Amino acid sequence: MLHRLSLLLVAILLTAPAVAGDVALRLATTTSTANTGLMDYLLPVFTRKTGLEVHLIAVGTGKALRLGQEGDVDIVLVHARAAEDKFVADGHGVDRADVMYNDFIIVGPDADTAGVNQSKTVAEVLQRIHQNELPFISRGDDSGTHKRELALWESAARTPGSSWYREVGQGMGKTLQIANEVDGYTMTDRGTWLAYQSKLDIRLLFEDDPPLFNPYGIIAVNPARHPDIDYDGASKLIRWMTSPEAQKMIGEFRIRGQQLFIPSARDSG
Amino acid sequence: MDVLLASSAEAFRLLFSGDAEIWEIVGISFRVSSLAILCAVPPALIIAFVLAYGNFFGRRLLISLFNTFLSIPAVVIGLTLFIVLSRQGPLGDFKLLFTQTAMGLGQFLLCLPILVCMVHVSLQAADRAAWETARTLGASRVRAFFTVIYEIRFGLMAALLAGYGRIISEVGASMMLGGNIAHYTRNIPTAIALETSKGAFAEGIALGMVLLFLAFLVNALLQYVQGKGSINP
Amino acid sequence: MIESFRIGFRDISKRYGGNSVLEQTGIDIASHDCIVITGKNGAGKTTLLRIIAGLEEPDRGRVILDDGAPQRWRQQRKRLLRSVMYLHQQPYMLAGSLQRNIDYAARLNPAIADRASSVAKAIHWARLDGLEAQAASSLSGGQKQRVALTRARLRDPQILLLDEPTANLDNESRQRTLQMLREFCDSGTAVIIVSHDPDVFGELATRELLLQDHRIRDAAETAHEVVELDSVRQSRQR
Repeated sequence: MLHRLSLLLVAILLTAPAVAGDVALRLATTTSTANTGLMDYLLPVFTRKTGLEVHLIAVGTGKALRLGQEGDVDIVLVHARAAEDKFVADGHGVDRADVMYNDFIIVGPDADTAGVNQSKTVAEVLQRIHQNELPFISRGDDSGTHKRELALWESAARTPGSSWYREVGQGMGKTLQIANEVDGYTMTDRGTWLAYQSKLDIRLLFEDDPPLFNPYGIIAVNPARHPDIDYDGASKLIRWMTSPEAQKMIGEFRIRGQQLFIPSARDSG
Repeated sequence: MDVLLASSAEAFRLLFSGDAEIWEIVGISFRVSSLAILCAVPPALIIAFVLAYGNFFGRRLLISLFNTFLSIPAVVIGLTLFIVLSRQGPLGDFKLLFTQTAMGLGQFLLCLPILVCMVHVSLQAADRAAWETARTLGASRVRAFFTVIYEIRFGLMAALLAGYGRIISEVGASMMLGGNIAHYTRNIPTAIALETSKGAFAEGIALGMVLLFLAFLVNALLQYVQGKGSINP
Repeated sequence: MIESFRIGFRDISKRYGGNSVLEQTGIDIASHDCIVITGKNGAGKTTLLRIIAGLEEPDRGRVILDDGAPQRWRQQRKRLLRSVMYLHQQPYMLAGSLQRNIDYAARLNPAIADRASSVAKAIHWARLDGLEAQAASSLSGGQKQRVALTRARLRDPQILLLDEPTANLDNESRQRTLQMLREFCDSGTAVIIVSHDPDVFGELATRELLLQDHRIRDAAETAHEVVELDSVRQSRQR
């Protein structure tokens, strides 16, 4: 009986599709590009053009850069300008290029007792929340979004940290859900917001301020540091992502009828 | 409640409309976990055997150690292997991180202690006379080993199920080691985590139901086999 | 038929924890022997059998084969496992049918050419005909005993060791067991029986030994020991 069972298992395993080869290019990117479906929309076109398979690993910006630093991936696509510049300056990455940007928005309870929706700037938004000590949910996970939020607090000249400020250490979707449950405010990328909007009672309160714009950069891992990474493949991906074709596709990408990313590569048409 | 109902309805639709992506994910889950547990069985049997019948210094300590391993969070196994398999780690040159192999390795380490402990308990419950009878009848050590394994086959089956149950539903280590790469290392649990983070609850529930269904199938199989066994023990 | 042989065990000592079980004792065994060993509970009778069978390692001990030089027990362990058959007090039935249990033993004896007919013959010899398909674990105590003896028959051991083989058997099963043991002795196997009840084997036994004070003694050697043996019998009867 055991024999028969193990035979069955072996048969299933043998007939299962062959393992994808380890020749694939490894791209570490943030959950915001992966979860919106943007990369699933772009990468098949790249694969068709170049024959290069891309393995997409979706993590936070901090971890994506770390994976690049260790040579565990060939290329990273992230959004944390300061950290990106440091990554390149420290010699971990080369050939950084702008790809696109999306924006962050501030969401919160319908009642909006802080009057966030009347603010002129994002700095004012944060000052109002701080002053009224209303619940603010922070990602608290060292992601690009989290880093941006901290930078905004700094430029608003406020230090968050009392009991109204909650660091949850979760992804954006979870953070939105938590904000929804506690009638709190949070800062989110527009893509995740669009995906979750219909399931939440909190609403969009503030948008369209330049400090909230969120540029994405693509960086090849430095082949001088890690000789056996696929630098050639990474270069091809960078060239394609900044090409007019990919840039046009990015501009046309829609979620629930809304544009999410604005192409920004310098050599785009 | 509305969300749950709508999600369940969507789940059924996805399952039975033959959504290729869902079945691919199921295939990857099944394949990696099956391979992991198949690889874990031989060493687990040998370790359990040595722990049950061996007579050496440190045996009790080893037993306690394996019992302790039962309660290690999967994420810790994942993190440890991650560090070992990362390019800067001791096994970095094999380039195993973010492959099915890495995922399988994590699952192997997760189910090994379960198999060892449960088989060890079965062996202790079984009569030592089984081993001695085989030996005195002239069986070689290897032959006697397989004879005893056959004697405890129901315990072994239960151990396999428990081990399989842990790894097929495990998300932390698989996410860390496999990277949740579409069509490659995306299995049922990591896909559920992804769908949930995307807010696609229906897909998440659908995958959860597939997992439930698989678990039910495997359990039904065991019930069937054990039922046969009790008629003719 | 078993070729004639002699095996001697010398200077056997065994301790469990701090307690001495066997001390510098020994036993001589030859083909056709039928030895009955008696002694109080916990005297070490089972331990002695397991040492002879190669299942349990003594702390010290030597083995002499025929006219050879004494050798360490450990060096002879493989040979003991090969040529000595030990039957547990509760015979262990392997999973599956009676047929499988007997067939298992036949498979392991390379000397058996026609397995099917040997197994059938052995089953008939034990008067177990008709029970082939029955689950071995559901057999009665007497039937299990006979399955164990049948397995031993197919193994063809030089020495057959039995631990209380007639305890808990009804009279008919006991007679059958005795008959089977007699046939072992007749074919040259040395049979050693540990029993509280040596009288049962009266006419079968060629020697009666007493295990007392960690040592083997000839039961008839001294009057003192005969008295001892009697007291054992009496306590058993009470």
